[in-house]
Amino acid sequence: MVQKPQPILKNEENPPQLPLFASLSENLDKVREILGESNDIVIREFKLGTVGIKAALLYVDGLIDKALVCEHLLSSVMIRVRQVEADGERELSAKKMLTLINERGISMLEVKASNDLDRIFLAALSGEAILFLDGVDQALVVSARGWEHRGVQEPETQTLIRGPRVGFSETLRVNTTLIRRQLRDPNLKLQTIYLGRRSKTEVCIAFVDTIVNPKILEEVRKRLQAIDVDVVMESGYLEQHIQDDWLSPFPQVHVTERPDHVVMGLLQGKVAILVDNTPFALMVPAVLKDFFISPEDYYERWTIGTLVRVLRYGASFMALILPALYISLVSFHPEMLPTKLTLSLAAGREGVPYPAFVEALVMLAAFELLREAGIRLPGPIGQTIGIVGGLIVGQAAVEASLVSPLMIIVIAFTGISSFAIPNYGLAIALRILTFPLMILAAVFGLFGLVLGLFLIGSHLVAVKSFGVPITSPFTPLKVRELRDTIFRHSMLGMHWRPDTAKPLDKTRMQDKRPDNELAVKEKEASIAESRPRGGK
Amino acid sequence: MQADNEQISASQLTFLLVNAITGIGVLVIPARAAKAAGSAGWLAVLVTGLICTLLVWLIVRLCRKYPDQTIVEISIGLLGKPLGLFSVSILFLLWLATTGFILRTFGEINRDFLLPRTPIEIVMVGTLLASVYLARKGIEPLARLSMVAYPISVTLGLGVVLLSLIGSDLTNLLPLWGKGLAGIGLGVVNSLFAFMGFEVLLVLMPFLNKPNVALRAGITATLGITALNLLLTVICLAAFGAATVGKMLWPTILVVRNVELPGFFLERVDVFIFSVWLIEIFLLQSIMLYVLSLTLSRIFNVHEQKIFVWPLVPVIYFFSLFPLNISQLATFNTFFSVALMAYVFVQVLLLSLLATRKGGRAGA
Repeated sequence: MVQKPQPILKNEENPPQLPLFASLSENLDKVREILGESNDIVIREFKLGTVGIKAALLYVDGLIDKALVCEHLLSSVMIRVRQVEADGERELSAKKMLTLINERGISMLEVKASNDLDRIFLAALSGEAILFLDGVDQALVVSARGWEHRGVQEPETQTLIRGPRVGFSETLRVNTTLIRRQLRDPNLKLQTIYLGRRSKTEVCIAFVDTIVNPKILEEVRKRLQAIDVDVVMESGYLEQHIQDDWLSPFPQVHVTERPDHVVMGLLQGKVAILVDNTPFALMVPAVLKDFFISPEDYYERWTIGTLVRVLRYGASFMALILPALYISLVSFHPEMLPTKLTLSLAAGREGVPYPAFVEALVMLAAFELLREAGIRLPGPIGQTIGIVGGLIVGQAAVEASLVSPLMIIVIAFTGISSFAIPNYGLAIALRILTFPLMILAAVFGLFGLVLGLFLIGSHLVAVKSFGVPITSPFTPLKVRELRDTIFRHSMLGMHWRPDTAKPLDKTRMQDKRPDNELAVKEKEASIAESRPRGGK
Repeated sequence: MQADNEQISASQLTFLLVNAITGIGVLVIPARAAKAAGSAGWLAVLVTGLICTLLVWLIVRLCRKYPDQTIVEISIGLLGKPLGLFSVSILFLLWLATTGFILRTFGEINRDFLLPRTPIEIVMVGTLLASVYLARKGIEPLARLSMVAYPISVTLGLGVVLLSLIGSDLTNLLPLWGKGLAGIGLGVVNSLFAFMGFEVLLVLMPFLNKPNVALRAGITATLGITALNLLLTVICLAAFGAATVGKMLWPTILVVRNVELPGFFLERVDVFIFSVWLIEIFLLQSIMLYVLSLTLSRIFNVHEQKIFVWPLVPVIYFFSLFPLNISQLATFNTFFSVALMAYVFVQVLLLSLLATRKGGRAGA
């Protein structure tokens, strides 16, 4: 190998890390040496043409579509070579043969040439069929992926009443298809990088070219490329590597199982990260208000969307403070409550031997236990556990004077509230924060509760997701965007994309109704407002 | 990691100022004004507000000439290093003392309304520790939180306070002249406590993304606070009469106590409103901690502001323990607020004169 040989076919990548040899036997020896004796690696050797050029097909059993390979690769190549020779071109050289096979021999869609064994291994292990030819230092990589996978089903974590019954599945290609089908925009770009030193997991970065802010895209790439782990099991691995603040209990990356949700995000200028082998896609940047949004809000009329949004915000606040509020009111400030309520409360607590804090802690812990147990059990049994745990144990605890009836109501309300939040990550964060708040309330009463809330607030305003403060648009305040936060604005009024991801293309809609004077005025106002006025 | 937490907008500055001013002041202003000026307390508040607006104008006028500099650099630049540092150190000490006394004042209120049996020291230490976290995060998070918290607390508080107008007697505002000119003058001196805080502009102005909006922000803040304090004073005077208000410690909360909301799940609204207001007090402490640590970092010419926050905590705590009792605390509050205002006035005036004498060379 003194002189670098000119490749016959254009290689997909240069220069090779581990170049191919010209001799087939050397190549196959190398393959056997590296891939070893694994029982799913198949090497099929055969001969082509009258000269009998040695050839070999390498694939991983179970990852390729066998029928496809037999029909359109193996038989097609053999027949084609014979035909060409019958037409008079005798004694094809190996190089000519490779060109011939590539150009006319394989009736399949995606064929690439490669001279890098590293790449070839990756391709083979991803489910491509590799065709080696003796006498050439190149091999053909033929895409023939086909394996058993779960079909497209309704996502279980994000069910909607109205909306497509479609969720991502474990195959990356299927997932990108689902996005493409909703967004036939040539500007939708899907770029692949491979992450994980060993797993070589395919990760797809999706964005809409003309909307996404290049700075954010660059930041996403930078953070993804900085990841050097041996395996990427799930998108959660990436989430934890690319998030801004690992100490924060709050999620800073939006996780979703729904293609429509991803498309919605892409059109706001977000960058979606899809990972092979998992139905959960990531979206960045993610701000707090995104976690309160379910795609359904926009499918239904605005009144419905607004009602459920207000409910969700209220519920999240309840889930956070209710037990702590109960503790502080009962143990420190019973005078705050109406006299009758205080009396009935005292009557309910009569005979309860423990302070309100212990009561609340035990019940909340029991609730978390039930929830966790319910997840592990199959559907029908999980429900039974819920009934047995919730109703029977609760009733018994009250009758045994272990807890007061109001406590049961508080805990049940807290639990239900936490389930009303569309985003699991946020719901969990709030549930975790409930405990420190309870402790603070038990020690300092309302003062402690507010102190805790202040600390949570101080933390929230400092957290950023890819450069965007996660409390935006509440603070830093963007008045124009408040219309689609706690309330859902009318479809006809949403002229602008949310500014969260600082999209390049800000216009979302133009109101072309003839009687849209109001819309025109509003638009002018917002143009005036969108001029650099300072503040982020 | 977040090196870019260094710029605030005009509205954010307004809310920061308003927050720095209102924290404790609004709870006591009616009593302070009415004690000295009688039924003309509202007039004293108005005059104080206007004086402060004037001061803000002076401060902005000075700082605008040096858009990238805080009072520390300006003083050093105009007075020379030793004298400049000395003058700023006095300002710093005054701030430190008032912050400590404000903390103590809060502790006293908290003991009266929320935690009668908890030792006041624990409450004060808790407040300080809680504010450290935000003060270390930089100016942007501070501004963000105050912009969210302030409207909520004020809307809730003011809504309830306005309800107390039902059943109040506006004739209590008579005689308009109250205890006469001397009384009003004394009322102004007393009211200054509820207005101090806007002078943090002296160090916060360089963080504005556009320096030319500082005046608008400052004036909006002071006038807004003047309106709020005026409203509270009038309401308290109308509800209780000048003589009673003058003897109250925390009239604003007591006026809320009068309010009954039938059907509301809470009976004692005052405790609820005070709890909501706690956030403002924590924020006030954070802002002051930030301002103090920033001033220190500029005095020592260190880039990092964060590292000065923790060392300030024991010092502020020390100052908060200084007054022996609540009446001494009130005297201290009055004395130090007047001293601070007077000192700021003199310093700013002096520096302005020097700046004009140096002419356009220093100006930018």
